[in-house]
Amino acid sequence: MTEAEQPLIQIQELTKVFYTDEIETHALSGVHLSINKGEYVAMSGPSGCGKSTLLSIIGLLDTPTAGRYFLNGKTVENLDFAERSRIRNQEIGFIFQSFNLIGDLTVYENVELPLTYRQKMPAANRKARVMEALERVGMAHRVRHYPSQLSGGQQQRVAVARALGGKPSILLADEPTGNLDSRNGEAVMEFLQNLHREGATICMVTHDPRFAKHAQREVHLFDGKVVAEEELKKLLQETSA
Amino acid sequence: MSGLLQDVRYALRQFRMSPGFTAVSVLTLALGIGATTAMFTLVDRILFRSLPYPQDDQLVSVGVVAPIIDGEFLFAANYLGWRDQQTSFVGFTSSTGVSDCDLTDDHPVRATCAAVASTFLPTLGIQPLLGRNLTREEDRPDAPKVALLTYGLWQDRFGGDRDVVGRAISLDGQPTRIVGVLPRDFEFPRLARTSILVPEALDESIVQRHEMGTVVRVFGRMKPGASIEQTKAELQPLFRDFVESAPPPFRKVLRLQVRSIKDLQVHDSRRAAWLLLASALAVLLIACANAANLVLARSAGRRNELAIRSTLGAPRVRLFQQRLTESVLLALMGGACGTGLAYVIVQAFVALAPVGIPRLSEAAVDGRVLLFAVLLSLASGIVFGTLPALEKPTVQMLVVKTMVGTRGARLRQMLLAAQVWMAVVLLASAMLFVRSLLRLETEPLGMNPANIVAAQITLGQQKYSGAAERLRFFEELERKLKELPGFASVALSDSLPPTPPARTMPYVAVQGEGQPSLGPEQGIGGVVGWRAVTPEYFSVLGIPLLSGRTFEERDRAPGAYSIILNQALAQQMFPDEKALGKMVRFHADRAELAAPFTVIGVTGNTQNQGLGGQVGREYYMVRRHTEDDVIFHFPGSQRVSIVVRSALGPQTVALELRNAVKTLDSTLPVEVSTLSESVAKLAERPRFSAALLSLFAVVGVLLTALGIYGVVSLLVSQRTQEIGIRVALGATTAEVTRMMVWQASMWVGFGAAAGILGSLVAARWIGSLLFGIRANDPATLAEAAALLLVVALFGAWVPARRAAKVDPMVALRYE
Repeated sequence: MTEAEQPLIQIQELTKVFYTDEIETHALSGVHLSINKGEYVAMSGPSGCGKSTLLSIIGLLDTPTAGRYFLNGKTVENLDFAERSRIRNQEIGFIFQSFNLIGDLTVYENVELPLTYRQKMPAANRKARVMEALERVGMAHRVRHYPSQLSGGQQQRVAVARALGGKPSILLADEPTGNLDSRNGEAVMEFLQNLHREGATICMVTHDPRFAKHAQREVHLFDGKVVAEEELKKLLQETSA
Repeated sequence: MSGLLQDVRYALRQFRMSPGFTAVSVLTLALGIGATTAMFTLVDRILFRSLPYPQDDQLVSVGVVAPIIDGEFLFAANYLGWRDQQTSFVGFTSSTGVSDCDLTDDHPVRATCAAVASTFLPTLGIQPLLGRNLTREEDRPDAPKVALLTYGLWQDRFGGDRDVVGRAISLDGQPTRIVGVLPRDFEFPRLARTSILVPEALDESIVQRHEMGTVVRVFGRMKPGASIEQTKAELQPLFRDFVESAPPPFRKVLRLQVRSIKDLQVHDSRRAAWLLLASALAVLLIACANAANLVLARSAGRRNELAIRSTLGAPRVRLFQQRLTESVLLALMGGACGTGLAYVIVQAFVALAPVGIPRLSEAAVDGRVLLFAVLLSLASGIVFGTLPALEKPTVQMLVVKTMVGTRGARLRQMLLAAQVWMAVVLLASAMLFVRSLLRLETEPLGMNPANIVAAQITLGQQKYSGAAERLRFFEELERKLKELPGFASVALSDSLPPTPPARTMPYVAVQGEGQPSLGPEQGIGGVVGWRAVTPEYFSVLGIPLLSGRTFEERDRAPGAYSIILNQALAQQMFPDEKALGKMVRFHADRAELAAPFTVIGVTGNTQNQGLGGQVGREYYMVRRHTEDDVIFHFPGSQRVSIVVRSALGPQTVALELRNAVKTLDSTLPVEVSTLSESVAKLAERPRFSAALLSLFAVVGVLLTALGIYGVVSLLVSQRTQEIGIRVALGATTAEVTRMMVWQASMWVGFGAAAGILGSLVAARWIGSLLFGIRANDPATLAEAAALLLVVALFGAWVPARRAAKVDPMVALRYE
């Protein structure tokens, strides 16, 4: 397999168990998943199916209980905190449902933040990257504003700019439209599609089938397992019955 | 570096955006840093700062300790011998002490003269600012008189005239040539106020005549690298010679002492100074714990930010640096305010502090103190900032919504317990000091100081050089005072209780009729104090007469030998019989004490070792109408204390007293105060310590209460949803309040128990500073812990009560 053909993300037999007061909760059970470079994948499923847990593990925010995880062909499931921080900073861009901008930082500073954690990046390069990202999302005119001075849609655009600023290998979006009205939601979806068309790899968690349709491929989760769409429908019908 | 600057910029912005948090944190830290910096300023000169002598650690006070004289000393003959024989010092010098002297030029003025050897300044390493040192030729009894002026006298009396060297002045009526001026920072090693240095001019022929000579205080500069222990060991042969030459009863009680000049100056202040500094540090630690709790509380609100930063790839060390930067900046801001507070506190303390605390008047917020404040602030920032900064970010929370509400609560509760622990130790110490002070102030004195005016007069050496002149003055003064209307009760004494008698006699030298002498194995039997008084002394002071009579005019005639004993001495001297009418003989090589004295009365004991001291044995002799009187054969007979009991007000009595002295000698300074004031002055130092400790304790308790309030408030806000559920399920206000207070009280109780244990440990340290109360007094420790519990639980009750009023509908919408 050449490097170009090699999946960007490859997950094998991934399991995540939460232990609380002697109760084991299997959030993920034997998940297999591959995401190729340039692919746009939506992960969907009912509430509590494990999609956010899977996104946390893909984003190196959490570690699996068992299984393998290869990012760019390198195993990453057992890295230490510092190494995971470095990879998050350089390889992954996050877009969250609740934007997660830092209220005390300006728009410019929020977008600059991940770049400040990169050693030896000259200030001029940082500035160029920040302005480029903000111009892409149409927020360059709001650099001195604080998040509280922006609308929800604008905040999410800033969050996207922050994710793009670091030129990551993959964008992870967790319910990116969850806190937006339909008009702003559609705008964000359109923006992600544009990014995909320009070659970005995107993995998005959503419970809304309308938005999942924007993705190239849809991965369905149910009770911590990846299931086919038909199987999911069947399982959902059984559950509701 | 740019990262650090970014952190600083961000932190400052954070502070601007959270003015409440910033103000409370800065104020809390300002209190702790301010109190500690102020205490450091006050005790720095006592504990840490070097003395104004080059290589001051090589300077020591040397001598023999004996019960009859305060502190280490040598007799002049011993000193001269040691000076020539010792090999331990590169400089060895002496002083016969500091005494009043008069500049008797056109405008006479009272000064203080220190008589020192010509080797004094070279040994201390001091160069005169102007002129030169004393020469060996000038340090002889028959040499022309010379003097060195201190900087202060040079400025005040001679206007800083640089031509003063070589000028002749009249000192105690003797023409004296000024040979130099001392540097501004000169201080006498025993810290006595000094304005002039004169040669001590020891008569070296006393060695040949086998006389002991006067008492001298000896100072030495040890060889570089030598320790006090080594030097002391090297002096042992000379000390053994001293012991062998001493009268047998003294041999057992003599002890060689070599101690640093710093120790000489601050020995009895050192422990109190450390205690006060430790108390201030305890306040600082409580403040740090509070600040840590505030930062932790704020961290709960910033957990999201921390997670975002971490998600975006911030390394742990960078997050730690950012948060520590915030804490250190807060501490520096607190330090800046605290330094201002310290300046105010120091000014107030210096103004209010009693006299006699070494170097206190020099205390000032200078560069050294500022450096201390900066270092203390940095250290405080690191201390209270490290724990919160170590908190691990929860990156999963950005994606997986989990309940993290009470995270960090255990750490905050532990900090709370630590605060309570320190506050109980502080409070217990303060309560012990206050109780000790109350007992000190209400201790029976054995006399009644109310409505008594006391004055001190010291006759000049020149005008009153002999016994005849002194007797004439005192007789005339007594007569004049008694003639004043309203002055019927007047007495003179050489000293007044409760200060110890000015003179002492070894007990072995005072033998009661029919009583056996002390054996050699009993040593000198301690010392007995004595005072020379006029007949009205007992009635004026209200000292009760237990048997016999007090002195009368007939006892003052030449040839009358009467003596009065205090109860303590009478009981020891005549344990099985009445002292009244018995004879007392003095085994002293003095003609004036050769005749036996008849015990004419026994009085009650007066407090005569200062406040809080054990009552000492004491006898009284009457001041007789003769220049052969005993008093004139002892040093210091030019000093007298006058006591007046009068129905007139103290100000009137003082005025009349001054006028009476003025008619006899207009140049004599008179110090007047009421006896009650003088007694109260003796309690000033313990009062000062108690006041400072109480202040620290109050601040410590208030900070702790605020800390508890803050922690419980935070717990309440974190548990709002839970409380709402409880209320929705039927919990009453009282039940919810009880639950919250109970949870806080467990940690408070734990801290209080640790505080009692801490106080028991501290007891060993403060015990010697207390009077009439044990440092581990169970009642005080229990009361301190109980008081703190009450205050702490009140601090917990206020937010708990608020929590109990939570609207369940609002609380359940909380998430």
